[in-house]
Amino acid sequence: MTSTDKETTPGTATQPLTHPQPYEEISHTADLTIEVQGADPSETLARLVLALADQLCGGGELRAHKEVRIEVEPGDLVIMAIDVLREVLYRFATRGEIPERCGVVRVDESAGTKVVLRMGRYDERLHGGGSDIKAVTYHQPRFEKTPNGVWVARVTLDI
Amino acid sequence: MTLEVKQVGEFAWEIPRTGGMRVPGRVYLSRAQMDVMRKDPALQQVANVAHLPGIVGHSLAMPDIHWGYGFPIGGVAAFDAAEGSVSPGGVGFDINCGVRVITTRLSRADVTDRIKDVVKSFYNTIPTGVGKGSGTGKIGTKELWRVLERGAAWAVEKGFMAGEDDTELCEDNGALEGADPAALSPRALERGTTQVGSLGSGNHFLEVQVVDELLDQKAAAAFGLFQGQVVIMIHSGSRGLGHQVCDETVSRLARRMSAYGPDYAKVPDRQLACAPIASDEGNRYLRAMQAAANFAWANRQVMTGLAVDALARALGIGRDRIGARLLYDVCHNIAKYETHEIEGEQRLVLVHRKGATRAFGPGDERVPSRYRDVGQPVLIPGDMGRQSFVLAGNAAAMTETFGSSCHGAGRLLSRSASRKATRGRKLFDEMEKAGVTVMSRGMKTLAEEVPEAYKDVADITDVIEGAGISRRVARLKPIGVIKG
Repeated sequence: MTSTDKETTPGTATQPLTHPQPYEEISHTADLTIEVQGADPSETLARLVLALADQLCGGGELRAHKEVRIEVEPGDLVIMAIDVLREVLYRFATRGEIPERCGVVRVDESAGTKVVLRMGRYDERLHGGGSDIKAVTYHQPRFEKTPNGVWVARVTLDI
Repeated sequence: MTLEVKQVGEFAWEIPRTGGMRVPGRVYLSRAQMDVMRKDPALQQVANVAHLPGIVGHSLAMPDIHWGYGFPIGGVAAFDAAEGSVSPGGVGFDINCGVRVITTRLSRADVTDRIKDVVKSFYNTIPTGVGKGSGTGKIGTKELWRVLERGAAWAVEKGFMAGEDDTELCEDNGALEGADPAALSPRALERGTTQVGSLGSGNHFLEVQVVDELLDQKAAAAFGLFQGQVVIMIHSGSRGLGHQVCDETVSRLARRMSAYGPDYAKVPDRQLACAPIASDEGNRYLRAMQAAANFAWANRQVMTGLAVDALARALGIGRDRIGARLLYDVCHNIAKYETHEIEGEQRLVLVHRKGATRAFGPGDERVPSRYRDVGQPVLIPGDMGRQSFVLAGNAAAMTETFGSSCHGAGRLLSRSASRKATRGRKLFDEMEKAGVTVMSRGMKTLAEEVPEAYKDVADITDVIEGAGISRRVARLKPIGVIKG
């Protein structure tokens, strides 16, 4: 798994999504479970990333200042999605960066996943209502197409 | 689907072995608590843990059991040290999250009129919340290496202390053997350099408390507790460094569990990802986990020194008049090698405690000599409005629970339900009226951590005492709280 800072702004992803995007907070006694829906794996993954971003910024406005690319190794969709979120969380914890826009270049179980993120910076005045998330867990995650054709992704975050 | 659960004692319930379970589950609850718990996913998590390779005895859960990720919170599981497995999820992301209590010579009357100044002094001295730095300032990698090897002793050498004997009053003297900083990734090390001596957020706190009731005079005297005494309780862990160690290990294991054979491939929850203790991956995790545990002890030790200084400043008195002394420091997210009697044999096992506290009984050589007659102090925080308890370990814990007890009140409401229930309320004012001065960096944390979000810890300690695992020594009432 790698992430790279890119100074150039043009993204290579198709149909990038911008924060905020719809997601559901599922009740979990100690921690936090988030669930998103999308028309395809790319939209679903982008919404999952932006759902995590929304939790980190507490719904506050994000002003993008740089672009970051994240690439993760091939694996099943769940593992690759969690790897992307782990990298987002690491960048938040160490650099205070939060994704404001997410474009998915590739989601492929045999070739890996690549996303392009436009990052805002954590500001306590704007984002003080956010959650201090410790980690992304592998507890009962989902990333799959449902029988009605909608894609669903769900992860539990440790607080 | 509801699991089969049968009562095997007034406060003990068994989940019989079914399917791939290698041992039965055992949960300590009252009948009323079990009536509520029966459909809770946490019971299934007890059964899931029973599937892990090399588990011995029972998959256990303490009365503060609640739904976690992988392991239930309140879970205890022991694994054969040679043939068993180690599960980073059974320790948790916050490695060596733990609690310490610092006693003082002060009585309630010494702080009542100055409690706002005291809380403010703590809040301004100890970093709390997101990205608020460390109590020591940024340290270099070489210095961090020493933190990871020496644990609490490192902080004492730097002058952060309550009394002269702080390290003797931590489990394992505040440092686990086997810690290897070289087992940590550059990312984990990077996160550690900026967070020594910081509280964090969520359920972490520093509280000023008053000893409200003594329940076991002999043990209270041994612990140095008296009626009306002011004490400080700190709850924190290994911060981002520990999170990174767990995160990276679970991630590696989740991708290659099947490499360890069919027993490992069949584990029922990916968060239970584990490796043979004897494998390279298992061994590397243990060395890194032990180093992260030492970081957590150093972290709490630095905050101890800062807290005593902050209290002295707020009251305008010298440290000598405070008479601070560490009562004890316990870890409740940990895996430790311990020898226990299992089916009549002494066996070396790796005990995982995920939201559970070690509670060794009287006479055990691993308990500090001054407490050996009464048993190990067991520090059980409640919510920030009602009460916390100091307990002592009993002999029964050694035969029933691998010397383990509960670790807190356990959540009753989810975080979102708690926020919803408190919407529109003036929480700081409510707490003030209830006699607790609170300073918190964010309203969200406060809304998620209100007293009613938790079970009453008195109900939890009722069960743990009723089951004979540990006994109550003193009840502590919070009067001042800082949170992230």
